[in-house]
Amino acid sequence: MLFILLLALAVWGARLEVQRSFIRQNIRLDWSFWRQPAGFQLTALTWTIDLETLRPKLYDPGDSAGEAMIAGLFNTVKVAVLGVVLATLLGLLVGIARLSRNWLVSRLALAYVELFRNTPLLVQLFFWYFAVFLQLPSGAPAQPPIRLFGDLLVLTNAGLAMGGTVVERFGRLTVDGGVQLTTEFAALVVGLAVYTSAFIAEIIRGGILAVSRGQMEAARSLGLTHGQALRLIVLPQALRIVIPPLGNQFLNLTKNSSLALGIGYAEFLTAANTVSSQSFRSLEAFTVVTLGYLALSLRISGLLNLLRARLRLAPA
Amino acid sequence: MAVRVEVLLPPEERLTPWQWARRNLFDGWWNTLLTAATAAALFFFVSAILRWAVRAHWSVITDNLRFWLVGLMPVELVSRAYWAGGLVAAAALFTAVGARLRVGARVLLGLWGGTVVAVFWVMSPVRLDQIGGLYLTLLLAVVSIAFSFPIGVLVGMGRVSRLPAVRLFSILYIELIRGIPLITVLLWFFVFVTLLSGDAITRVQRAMIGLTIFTSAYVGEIVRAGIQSVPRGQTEAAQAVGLSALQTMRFIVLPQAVKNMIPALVGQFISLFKDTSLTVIIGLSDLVGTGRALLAITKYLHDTQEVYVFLLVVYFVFSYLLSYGSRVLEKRLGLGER
Repeated sequence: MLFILLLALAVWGARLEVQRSFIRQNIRLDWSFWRQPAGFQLTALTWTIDLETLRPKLYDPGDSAGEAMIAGLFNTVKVAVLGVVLATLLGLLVGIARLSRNWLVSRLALAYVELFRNTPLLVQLFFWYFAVFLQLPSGAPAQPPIRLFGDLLVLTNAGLAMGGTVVERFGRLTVDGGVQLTTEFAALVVGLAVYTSAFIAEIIRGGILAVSRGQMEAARSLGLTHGQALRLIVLPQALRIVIPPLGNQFLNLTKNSSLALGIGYAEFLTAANTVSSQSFRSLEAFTVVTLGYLALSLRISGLLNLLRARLRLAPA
Repeated sequence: MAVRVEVLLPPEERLTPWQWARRNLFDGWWNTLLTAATAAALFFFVSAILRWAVRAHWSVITDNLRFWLVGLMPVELVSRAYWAGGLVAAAALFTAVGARLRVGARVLLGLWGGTVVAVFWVMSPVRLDQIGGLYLTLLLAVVSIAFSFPIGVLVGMGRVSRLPAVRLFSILYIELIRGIPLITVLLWFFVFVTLLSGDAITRVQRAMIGLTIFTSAYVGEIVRAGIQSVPRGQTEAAQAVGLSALQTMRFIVLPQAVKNMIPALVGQFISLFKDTSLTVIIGLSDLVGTGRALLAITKYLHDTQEVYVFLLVVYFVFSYLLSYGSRVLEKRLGLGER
């Protein structure tokens, strides 16, 4: 009882103090920025939701600030989905390599995990963006772009293109058509995927080790090869064990995508940051971002709980 | 009379290097092929890195060591920072040696308490906004974990409290903070404090408070898990012998819970140490900030790779040392063995 009273008193006091300070400095919360034109370009074509008709449409710099932030949210989801897929594949590969009987392979996988787990994600993103992707050749005659698999993948410091045709424009070799990814997007997705894959690898390894040895031995004695036993017997059982921690990593990846602010990819937080510096409505913009991330996190953990319930074994 | 059971360990195998290589690297054609392919890739990769490292311009690191260590601290105060660093290094060395010699935990605790006081005394003339580099990174991490531990214990206990209001408050706090990225906590708090008080609270203090608010929620979850890992029988037995709820917590549950919490807490500290790099986004000049400031100098404009590789190495060395230390500590405390 005493605690509730004290807490209520503290909250009330803090509220009064904040109010007084805001009045003193003539600060008022003002949400009208939400409907004012944003006026800034996002890096690539992005979907958003029309706030008048609530229909999806392509974002245009003439749209309102609110629509710009929703476009940013779409970008966050895009990064998160692609990042989760890549991180899971990479993590699965490294996690299995960690358990390889080949000493060299398992040591190499361990080095990979330790390297990427023990360094900050932001520094890794800076590294990928500034020290790797921006150092790629520009496509000018002296610096021809890197063309892999017969132009299927073309790398320049303007981004990477898949399945387009290489053309010369303004004295530079660029790519027409195909799937084009900006440098920021590529650096962000690669950075997030590699960082998260190190954690996923450890989860996969733990999950496989948690399946009892007898399962593998029984499968081998039935005549399955090592690969078959892994794929058909051990991995399906490990899957059930790894789903909850894996889900946490997906959630982390989504939250970590906000570090795009450091390299300027226009996801949710970066869009909100631009809105806040244009409208001087920082507190309001960052409050919207906080609530947005909270909603996203709750939605993802809700989905994960649903998945967990589906995967649960029926009580024997 | 208890019967002593002797467990015989399997006889130790001694392999010659040749046998070892046969077994671990060249076991069957598939394994041999894998080894060869991996070794070739590794050789290619390592030699590429070495060639790069030889050609790289390391002067951006070697000519600016002072900035990397203490940032833009006034030159006449820098020697104090080195003294403080020396004190901490000496204490760490003594702890490492002391652990071998089985020095009592109280002595070590007293030693570290004394070191902290001495460091504060040595560094007292330096203002918070004058420091940077590695020193700021370490200070942010240490101060934030020190403050978030007691707060975390409170919210963690609150989460398992029987009082609904306390429990609701704790759950709201923990779930809200854990649902949003650290950078939004830092930015929101930064803006909020600016609106409230202008420049009365320095950027460094804001970062410390933001990191503390964030880490407390995670420490709270660790504490809750620790408390719940103590068997119910302990609480019931304590109440049966007449201890109050507070006494039960203080003398029975927490001491056992803390032991279970240590690995997770160290993990949280490492993650906090890495997370201090985010403060560069709100304009602090920690290690990353120092690197970016150096890259803005014309002379070093093209040394991005050198700077970021150096940063990765520094963070790696510290995090790895921390996790290595925690593994040694876990072994000493016999954690994970029952």
